[in-house]
Amino acid sequence: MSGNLSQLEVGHETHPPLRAAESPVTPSPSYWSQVAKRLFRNKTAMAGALILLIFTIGCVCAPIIAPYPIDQMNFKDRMMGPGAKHLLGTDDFGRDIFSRLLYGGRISLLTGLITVTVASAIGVTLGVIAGYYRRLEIYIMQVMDILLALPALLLAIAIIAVLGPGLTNAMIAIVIAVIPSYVRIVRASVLSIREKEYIEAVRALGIKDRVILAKHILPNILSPIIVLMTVQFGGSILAAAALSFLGLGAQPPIPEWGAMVYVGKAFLGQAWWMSIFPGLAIMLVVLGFNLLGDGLRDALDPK
Amino acid sequence: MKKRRLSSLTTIGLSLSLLLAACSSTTNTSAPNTSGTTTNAPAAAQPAATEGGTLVVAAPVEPDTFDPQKSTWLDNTNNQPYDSILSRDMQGKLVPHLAESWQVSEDGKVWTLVMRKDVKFQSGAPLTAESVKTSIERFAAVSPNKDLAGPIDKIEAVDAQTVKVYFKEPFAPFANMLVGTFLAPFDPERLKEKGDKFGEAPLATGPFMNPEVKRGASVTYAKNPDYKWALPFAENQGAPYVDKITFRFLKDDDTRILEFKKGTINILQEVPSTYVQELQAIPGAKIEKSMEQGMKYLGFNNQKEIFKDVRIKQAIAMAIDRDPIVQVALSGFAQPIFGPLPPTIPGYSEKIENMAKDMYGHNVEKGKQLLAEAGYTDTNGDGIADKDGKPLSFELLLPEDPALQRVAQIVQSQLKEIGVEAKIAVHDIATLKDKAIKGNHELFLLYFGLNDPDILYLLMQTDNSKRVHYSNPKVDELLAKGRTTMNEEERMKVYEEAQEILVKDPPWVPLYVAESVTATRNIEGYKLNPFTGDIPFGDIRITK
Amino acid sequence: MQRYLIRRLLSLLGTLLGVTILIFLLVHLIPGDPVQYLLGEHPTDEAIAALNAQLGLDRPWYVQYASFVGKLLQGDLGTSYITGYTVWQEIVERFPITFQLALYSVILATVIGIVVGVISAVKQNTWVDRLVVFFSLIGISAPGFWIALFLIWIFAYKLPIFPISGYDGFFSLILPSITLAMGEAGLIARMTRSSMLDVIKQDYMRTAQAKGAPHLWMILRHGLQNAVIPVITLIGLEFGALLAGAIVTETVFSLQGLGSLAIESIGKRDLPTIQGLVFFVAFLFAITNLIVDLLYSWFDPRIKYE
Repeated sequence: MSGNLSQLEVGHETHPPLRAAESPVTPSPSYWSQVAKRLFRNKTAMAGALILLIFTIGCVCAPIIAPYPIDQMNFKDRMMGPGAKHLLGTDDFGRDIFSRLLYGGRISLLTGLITVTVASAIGVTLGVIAGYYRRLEIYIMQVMDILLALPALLLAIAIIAVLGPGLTNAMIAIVIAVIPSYVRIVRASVLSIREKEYIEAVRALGIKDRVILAKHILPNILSPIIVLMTVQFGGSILAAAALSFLGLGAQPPIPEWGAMVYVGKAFLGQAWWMSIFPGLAIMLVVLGFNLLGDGLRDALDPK
Repeated sequence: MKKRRLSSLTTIGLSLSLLLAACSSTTNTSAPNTSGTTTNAPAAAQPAATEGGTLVVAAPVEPDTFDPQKSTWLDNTNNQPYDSILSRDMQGKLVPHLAESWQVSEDGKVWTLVMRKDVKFQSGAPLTAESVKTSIERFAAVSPNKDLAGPIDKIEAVDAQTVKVYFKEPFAPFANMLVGTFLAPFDPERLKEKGDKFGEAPLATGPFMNPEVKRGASVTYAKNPDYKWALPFAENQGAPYVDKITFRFLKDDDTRILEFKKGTINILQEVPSTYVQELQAIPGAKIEKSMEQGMKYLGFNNQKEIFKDVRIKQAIAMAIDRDPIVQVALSGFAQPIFGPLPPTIPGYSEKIENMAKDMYGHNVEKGKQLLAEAGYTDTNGDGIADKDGKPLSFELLLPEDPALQRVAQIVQSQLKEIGVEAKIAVHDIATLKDKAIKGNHELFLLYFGLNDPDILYLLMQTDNSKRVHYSNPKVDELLAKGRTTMNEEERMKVYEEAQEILVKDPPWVPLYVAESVTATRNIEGYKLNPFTGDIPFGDIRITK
Repeated sequence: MQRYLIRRLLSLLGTLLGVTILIFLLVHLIPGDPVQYLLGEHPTDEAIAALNAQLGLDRPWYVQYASFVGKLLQGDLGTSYITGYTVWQEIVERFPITFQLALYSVILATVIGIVVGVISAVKQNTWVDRLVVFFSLIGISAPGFWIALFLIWIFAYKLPIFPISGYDGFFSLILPSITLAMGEAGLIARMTRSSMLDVIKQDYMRTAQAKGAPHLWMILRHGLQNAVIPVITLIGLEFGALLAGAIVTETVFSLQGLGSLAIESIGKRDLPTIQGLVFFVAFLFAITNLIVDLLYSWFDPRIKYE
């Protein structure tokens, strides 16, 4: 990939453009229950949710499920293939891959959660400001254009070169790299709603901007944000894994999935399970988020 | 090359290690024939060796220039046009080469070199004392490594054959400068003609000449047909058997391996240990192991308050078990080391090595006990020893290198057994150096290399100690004395004394001496001198 | 249109100027002194000062920045500290591999993506469709480095057909191109499918059907015509991103392209190469994006520009 990040970037842009909810006023609770109903009937979304549920349970309960401690070296069992003793085999230090995957999932899921939360918080704020206050728009969008002028992965690598490798720094880099996509989408949604008559009417009544934003604009742009966050959740995990794979993110012995693939690469000829299984785990989780995102999109924006 | 330079450990070393022409040197042992695979090249089927042909070497690093006085990196790829003035035999003893004899004055300040009479430059002109003088003077003036030649005062050509080098202070490591080709005599006519650009068309006395450079790809030399002053340990003292030698600079390991399998490469240097078995199975291929002139170590930042307590350092040393490090992290291609110098550097002492082994053999209980004596025990049950609420937790810095990353994880788990937490932090070498020099580090994994025990001065002497920040007046004194003690035997005694202190008050934990692996195919006569890093390519004949 | 073009070019210039500031800032914040790296362990103070002067690192930052931009304006990307070659020469040396990779993978992805997308749209809600939807999602979700390792494991280790890595002509670019094409093909298939479905649902298709035009022919004609815009956009953007360096793929397959040049120069603190290369990449990226936008209007004259 030109960096999974940039694939990601393109990924969301190519989905049919998300429209802000068409309802002219703040969506009512019944709107959301409609959405929920549609979502639960959506097989794609449910398949995604199921995958994510299984992974989440596995990772949360890792201390109970994991058959071995993750950092216990056992040189006698080096690079044992998948089998009864070690479900998914062992690595070059004789550590159990299955156990490491469970614990590593905690890191990957948490990485996704943190980056998505931070990036969306910053991105939505900036996007709303850019969309609502035209004065600031040009500055914000200019900065976003500059960030977008570099392929996201290259930008992330450059940021890590400054900050130094490591999981936290990788997360910071990812956040910076994905913020522009939030800003763009949120700004576009805000713009479309801003021009609506009822907003003008509300403004004419002299209601404060803060109130208009909180009560009328934010609820209406929620749908595209939710979908974007879902897809970006998987995307951030993918990006963090790619950085770890390049040796810039989580460092061994941390069982982060991308880092495990990185380590396993050197042993591909002798112990394929060291890299193939962690990669499979990344793929499944990202798939889960993509399926859920697809389903959400349909549920939020029925045609 | 760029990529390899980045990842290859050799380059990250001290720039001094560059001196050494390849940090790899050989013990010339073929890898143990584990599965009998090498026998599929039976002697009966071996075609007769022939003379002529082109010998192809895959070298990891492309030289920046062919002028040894401008280069920071000298190895077999760019020292072929040159000859050293002295050399070492296969046992490490200092022997003459272009000089037929040498002498150091009583006060150690004057070196007298008497050059051989029969040596000719590749142009046909005879080697003169004047040309030796000019070359050494040029080195002392222009080389980025000029400091390594020591405090030279002046140089005199006494007669046609005799050169005297005067020093301001006695400087024993000069012998090892003469062993390398940094001070090789240049053809005076060519030097006059080319001046600063001598490296573009070097002309000297060496076994191969007239390099033809394809940048980014290769360099090809023709043999010197009039050569008859080969390295003293070479079998063939005359002109090389092969007509040409080509060094190819292939950028990544897989390509190099691929080419070797295709049979387009005779000598493949720096084989990653994971490929050894695969290559051994190729008909006509042989694996040569060579021990580096240096070692990998776990360093302390000795400036840190915590490491001023020698018990902490000793406890950490005892926590280390080198066997799994060598066997697991390095697939067996290394030798464990306990003392400050590896067997490939003069000054290595078995006595010191054994003493260090006795003191710091793997002993978890003793390690814990030492920590307890220093006041560190695990009071809160988290597995990490602490004192006054402060846990024994360190950052372990290391460069981006897969082998060292594996070593680091083993070290981490071993330290945990005595209750020391090591947090692994990988940085690229530029950042790592920066942190080390500024003292922003605690524990680190690194390596060093040089062909002279003076490396200890460069690593441990108070003003020079930019990695471990060690300071011990007695050690300073001894290491300074080592530089000025001319008698080889006495000098080694001085280093033995210094090493004893370095074992008792350790600035680091020596870990292992890596063995670099070279694969050869369809040739005979390959050997590598472990003490100089030289391969006498003139000895080699192509068999196919 | 012309006005739009001029405005776009102006804004592009502004962005690129911003990019120079960003790059300069990042590059100079990278810890580790390049002089230290070049001179090794025990350099003398004079040597450090001399090299600093030689490389121009002793000048105030704004002079360094001005010199960087000034040179850029003359088309000079700088000169590598390490190799002594100009950054332009370094790029020219590496560009062919990256370009080939981008080209092959985009062709592969486009062909697969469009064919599969069309089939899946025509056969909507059959098992073929579901299979396509599922596999496109897999392609999008799988990490590139993992696809790469998987392909290497199968086609280089288990069935030794392809080289494990390294560049040795077209043959050695096959696996990397497939790796890169997987994700793109998934995206293109999805795009094609949804655009086609939109079209199929539209009235004029029914009209066309009523007129009795052959079913498949009609779908292809109208459907593809309408699918072409989003798909072209996607391909253009992907191509730009790929040209910018398929960093991960180049790393896995040890290919000496622009992506690996970026990683190497950062590791060696080769400041001019990092600066020049990143700018070049941003420039390339911006230009492809612009071209994509222009193509847009060419394919669909209905799109108007304010």
